[in-house]
Amino acid sequence: MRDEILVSATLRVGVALAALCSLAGAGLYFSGHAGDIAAYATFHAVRVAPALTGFGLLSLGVAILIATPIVRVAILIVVFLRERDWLYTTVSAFVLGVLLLSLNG
Amino acid sequence: MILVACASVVAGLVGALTGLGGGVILVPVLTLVFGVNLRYAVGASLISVIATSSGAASSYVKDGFANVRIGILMEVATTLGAIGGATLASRVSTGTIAIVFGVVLLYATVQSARPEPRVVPGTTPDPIGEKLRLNGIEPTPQGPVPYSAHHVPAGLSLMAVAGAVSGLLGIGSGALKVLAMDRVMRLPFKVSTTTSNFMIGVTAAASAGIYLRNGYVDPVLACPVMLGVLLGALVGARVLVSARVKVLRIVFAGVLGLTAVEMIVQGVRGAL
Repeated sequence: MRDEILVSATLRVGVALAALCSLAGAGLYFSGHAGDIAAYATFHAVRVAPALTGFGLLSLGVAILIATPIVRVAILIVVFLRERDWLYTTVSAFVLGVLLLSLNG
Repeated sequence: MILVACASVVAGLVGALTGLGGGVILVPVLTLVFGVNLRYAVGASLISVIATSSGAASSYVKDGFANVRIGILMEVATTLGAIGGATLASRVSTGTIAIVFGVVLLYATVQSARPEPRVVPGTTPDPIGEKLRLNGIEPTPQGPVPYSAHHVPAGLSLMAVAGAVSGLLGIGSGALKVLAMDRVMRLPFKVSTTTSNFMIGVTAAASAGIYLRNGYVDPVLACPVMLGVLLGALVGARVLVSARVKVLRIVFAGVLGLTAVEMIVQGVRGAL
């Protein structure tokens, strides 16, 4: 039960951090781009890079959010390891591997 | 952009009230109303799906309904499916994606408008489920009720499809996940919905990685959308407890049905 509270706390902290980052980033970004008309009708690939600018903070918000479920799976591995549940340690590790592969593959 | 954020609040609210999730409403709103390219819309939607799933799941896990073992095992199928779906999304035209989206939205709308038929629990659990210890105890007002999983391979297959749909369309595909657990694996409904919510974030993270690498996620669009949907979902969850939403549900179902048809039409015309 304590582990489950740890898992849900991780999720909550991750979402809160990401939201804070996004809020700060949005404030910073839109104060500098107030008159811009967003051009989302045509598609061009966007490069995301965390930095201490409005865009950077927004990128960081996205990065933290995507990392949150990944960290959750990592914690699950530790939880199952402590329970000496080798089967589900392996299952969790496999899912973590798939997630990391999707980011870097 | 403030308008987009406000529309996202509404999408989150409607998503929570109808139980369809924010993404299914967000993508048509962004593309049809705001003229956002479908690829950005799907990218932004995936990000907001992670936010609402993680935000909501944290409270469900504490209540003891979600089954973590079933969740992580099913995630093997959903993450692999999601990677397939996200990879496919970069290969096909936006028109094709719009048509598939419309069809899925139409199906989800019909499903949500229909009352849930109660499944009679089967008597013989799947031996695979027994071996994988996919059983649990559901806390009910009448006291703890034990349950076990049936048809595990079929459930896993449907989960892979759910993952692929999620990766292709940028939605949580919670309805498909619930279908796999509630109907196929015959888990209690409450266990299915909470475990599904717990899984959606991990599934979406798998495809979000690919969308990020392909440049489909613009933080300037995704972040206000994510904040809006999160706010809407939080308010929606509160309202859901108190309000009588039956009438609302029917109204929304009608609107969503029309939206679905519009997505298909625009997709066929190649306008998205």
